Amino acid sequence: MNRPLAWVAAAMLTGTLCAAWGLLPGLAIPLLLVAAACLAGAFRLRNARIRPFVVLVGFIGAGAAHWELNQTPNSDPFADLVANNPVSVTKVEGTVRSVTLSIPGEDRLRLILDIDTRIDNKTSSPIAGRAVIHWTRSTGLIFPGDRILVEGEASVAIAEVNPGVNGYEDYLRNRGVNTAIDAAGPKAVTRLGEAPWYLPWNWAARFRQAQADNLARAMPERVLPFVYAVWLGHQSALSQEEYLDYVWSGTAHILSVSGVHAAIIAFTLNFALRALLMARRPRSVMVMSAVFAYALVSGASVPAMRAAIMVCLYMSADLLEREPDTTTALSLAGIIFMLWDPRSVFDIGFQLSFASVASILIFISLFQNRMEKVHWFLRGPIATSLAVQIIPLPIAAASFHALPLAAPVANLVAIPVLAAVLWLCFVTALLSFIWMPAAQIAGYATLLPIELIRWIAEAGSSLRPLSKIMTTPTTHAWAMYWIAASLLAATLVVRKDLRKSMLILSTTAFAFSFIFWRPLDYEPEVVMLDVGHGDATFIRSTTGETLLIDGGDASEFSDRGRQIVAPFLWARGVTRLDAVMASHTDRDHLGGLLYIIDNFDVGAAMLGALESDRPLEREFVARCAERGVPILRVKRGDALQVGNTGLPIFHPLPDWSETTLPNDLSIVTKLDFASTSFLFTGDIERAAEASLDLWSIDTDILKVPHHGADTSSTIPFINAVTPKYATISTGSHGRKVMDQPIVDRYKALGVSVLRTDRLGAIRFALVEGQLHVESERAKRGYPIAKD
Amino acid sequence: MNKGDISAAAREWTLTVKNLTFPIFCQQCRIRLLTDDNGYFCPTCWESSPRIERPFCPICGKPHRAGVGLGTRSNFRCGPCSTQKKPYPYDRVLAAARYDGAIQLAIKRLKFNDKPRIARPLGELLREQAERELDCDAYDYIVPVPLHRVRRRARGFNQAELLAREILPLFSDAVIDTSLVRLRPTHVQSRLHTDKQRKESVRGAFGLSRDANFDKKRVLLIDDVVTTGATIHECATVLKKGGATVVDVLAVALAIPGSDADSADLGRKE
Ligand SMILES: [Zn+2]
Ligand SMILES: [Zn+2]
Ligand SMILES: [Zn+2]
Repeated sequence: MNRPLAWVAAAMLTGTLCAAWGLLPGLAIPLLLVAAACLAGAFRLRNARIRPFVVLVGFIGAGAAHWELNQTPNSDPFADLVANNPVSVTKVEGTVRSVTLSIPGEDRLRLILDIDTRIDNKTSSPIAGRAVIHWTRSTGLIFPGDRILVEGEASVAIAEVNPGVNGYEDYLRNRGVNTAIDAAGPKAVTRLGEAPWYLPWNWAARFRQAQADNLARAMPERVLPFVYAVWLGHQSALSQEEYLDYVWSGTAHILSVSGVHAAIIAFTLNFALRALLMARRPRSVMVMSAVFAYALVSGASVPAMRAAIMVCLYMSADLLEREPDTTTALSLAGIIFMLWDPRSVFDIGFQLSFASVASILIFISLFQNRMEKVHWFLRGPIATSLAVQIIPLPIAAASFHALPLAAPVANLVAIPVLAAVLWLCFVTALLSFIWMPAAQIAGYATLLPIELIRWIAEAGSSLRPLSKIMTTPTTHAWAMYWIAASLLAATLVVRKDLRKSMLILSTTAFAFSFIFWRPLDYEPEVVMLDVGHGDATFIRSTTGETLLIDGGDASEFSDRGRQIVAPFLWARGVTRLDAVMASHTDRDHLGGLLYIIDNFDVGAAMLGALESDRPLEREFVARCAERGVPILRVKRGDALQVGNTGLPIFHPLPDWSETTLPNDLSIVTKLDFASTSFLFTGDIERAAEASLDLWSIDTDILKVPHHGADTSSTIPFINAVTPKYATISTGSHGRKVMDQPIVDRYKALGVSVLRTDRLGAIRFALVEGQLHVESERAKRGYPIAKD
Repeated sequence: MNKGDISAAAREWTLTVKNLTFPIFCQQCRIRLLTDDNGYFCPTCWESSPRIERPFCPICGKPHRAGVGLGTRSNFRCGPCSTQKKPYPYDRVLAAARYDGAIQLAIKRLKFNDKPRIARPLGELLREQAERELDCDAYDYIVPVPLHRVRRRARGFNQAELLAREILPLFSDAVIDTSLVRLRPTHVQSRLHTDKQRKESVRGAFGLSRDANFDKKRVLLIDDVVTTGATIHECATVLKKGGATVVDVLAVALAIPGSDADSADLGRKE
């Protein structure tokens, strides 16, 4: 390893990580830097062997210092103002930072605005802040760098926050966005001035939007969502089902613009220009600018920019009469990103992108050497698709949780076809600015390769039963895995006689990593997930049983089961649920459970005793049958037993004729949790509350019925429960049934109200026998609105 | 600080930055190289690659086996060349090195790995040998062995032409002439296994373009490597037909059959 920049990158990364994890606090960093400087001075003349280590210590300090300097939070007075006056109509001016692509069918657009002025009663005063603006295209297009005036309802930017799940709010807060302004209506956004002409991202956004508009006319509607994703980096037009096919076939990475795409562009363009007899230097310049243009126009994702930087280094090597060195190019790209924004180290795209390339560089020879019998034409691609898996595996497991077995084969076929798609997109985009009919010929030609990729994805995802679900590894497993990988890499460089013992060590380490992949002991806990409007509660009882009550909402646009509940469970190392209970058959409770039934090993499913023929219930029953999950119909008086955990059922009555309202047929049950107890009530309303046996329901923690609506929570009911805590599972946006008087009613009776819209997920855990209440928002340091 | 110092410092810094951002390694032993002197091979590997030194056959260029004519610094014909009166269409072959070691690797990288800059150290080798062994004023034309235009386009350059350009300054009266052309694509010689195959593959492959004028001219034919001689045989025949009085061949490397150097490369029957 005599590549100095690789060591510098590693040292900076170490420093950054140490600072980020709080291992190098305060004084340590300047001390490291000063020590390195002194040592460098002392050893400069005498000891050339120690000098590199000193320099590395210096870079560790520099990486850490750079992280610390970047941590000073941006002051956001506008956010403070909004937090103190919730839901107020405001008028602000500012400069646009970024915009989403506007495509037909998607009316609601987003942009991020750097606010500098607030207008209040025609007097304007300066104020700083950064907000996400939700607006509609009817007001005309807006691009980065433009100055705009926005009028709308401002609120603290809030979305669902759950343990182990990366959500929209994390995305916003990582970008320094703290407020949201809802600027619906045609006159809510006015353009005050255009961006200065020299802003490259303004040009990139304009060019991107122009392409989106042209492609919509030049291409068949069927392929548009795919083209928007791979050519313009805009994924949201893809339907959920289609996206899942790509996930389960292991080809989802081709949908987000990454290094693969940039490399395809660079490689094929270089090849084509060479065939056209273009000289080396102009060719290099052409390829470099094309790749940068593509990376910018496709939304400047970290992987694409990384690839563009690496292509530039490759090409400029030729201009400097040197040979390119991939390891150094990768390291330099990493250093550039770390200097640009040290937080990018925690960007999943950054991690996967760098880990994949590093993995190929290190391990490709391992596979190539063992494949002498394979035809040379296939050897490279096969070795690459195997080598690329090794280092990123735990990262991919932690973020995607899927290890599709079809992936290597599916990618081997899909990536060459993707090259064809990208070229047809390029030709279509180019021609569409010249002559539309010609563009349409190329545009319709994309049908064939895209249908082929879609077919590969479908075929791959039909092998889903063979795929493995990967839970997020524990820290031990994580460390052990990378030790094993390092040992495996070492087998490639050590002496022959040591190789075998190295290989054995490495295999052992891999085995240990998989043994300790999941936590060995679990804390008992009850977690009310923040699923917006809807319910989802995860229970790990004191005796270790896992139980899920409800799974949140699921619609054609979003599935809480897939987006929140499943990742939350996988992040906790849970793949088996001893029981799943659907309190009743409303979509905001049962919807998300379908995904859970499909993807978890479920012991039993419980439903209320009264069957109905609602479509969702029938679908749920059918899925359970398909997966071989027994269904238990429960009614008042049943003493349910899940492992060692008893769940007495208080409701519904077996043949209750008082109502046919699904809400009133919700299951009511009680959980004893060490010395405390929980009452789960689903969405019961007054009638059901009145029918309950008031003597049995006295508990410490009450899940407030029906999301805190005034259909429920009658005073006799509350008095019978006499809870210490009342948890309300409700959303902050969209549909909302919670009523403030109900919240006040609980408070007046001396009950602490815990709301998921304020606190995020609420976790009750036993810490040394004592009940401990945690708010996920508080844990992450996100703002919590007060009354 | 005077101007010279500044430019020297600038050069040193440029080299440091280049070494940091684009480290280069010996293609044979992977040791790191810190200068652009050779750019691809460390001095040890480069120097240890066997050269062709006197005594060698002045006709076919083959070095005499160690022990034969030991101590003589003058060349003499080898067995086959001295028994035949006029064995080859070309007058002589001069090669700078055996097709072996670092130089073999260098030629392969030059041709098959798109690294035209290796032509520089190879050209230097060629220049040294030409300076020692050739009368540099005795040629009118320097003719690189041509590539078929399709392969030339695919490769982006003709390695023999690059080598010809490297040695051109040595030949005060000569110019590079490219009117010898390859009429049809042939197989890469080193991938053919028998002598016969190779001869067959180049028969009639070369010709002269319309503006060619070799009448009573002395020609130096340049090639990267002479394996069986089939290619230069064919080229020299065409040139002689075109009226050339002298056709000498200058190549970087000469593959010597029977030497263990590259039996794999030369095929099984040799
Ligand atoms: Zn509900
Ligand atoms: Zn070497
Ligand atoms: Zn001879």
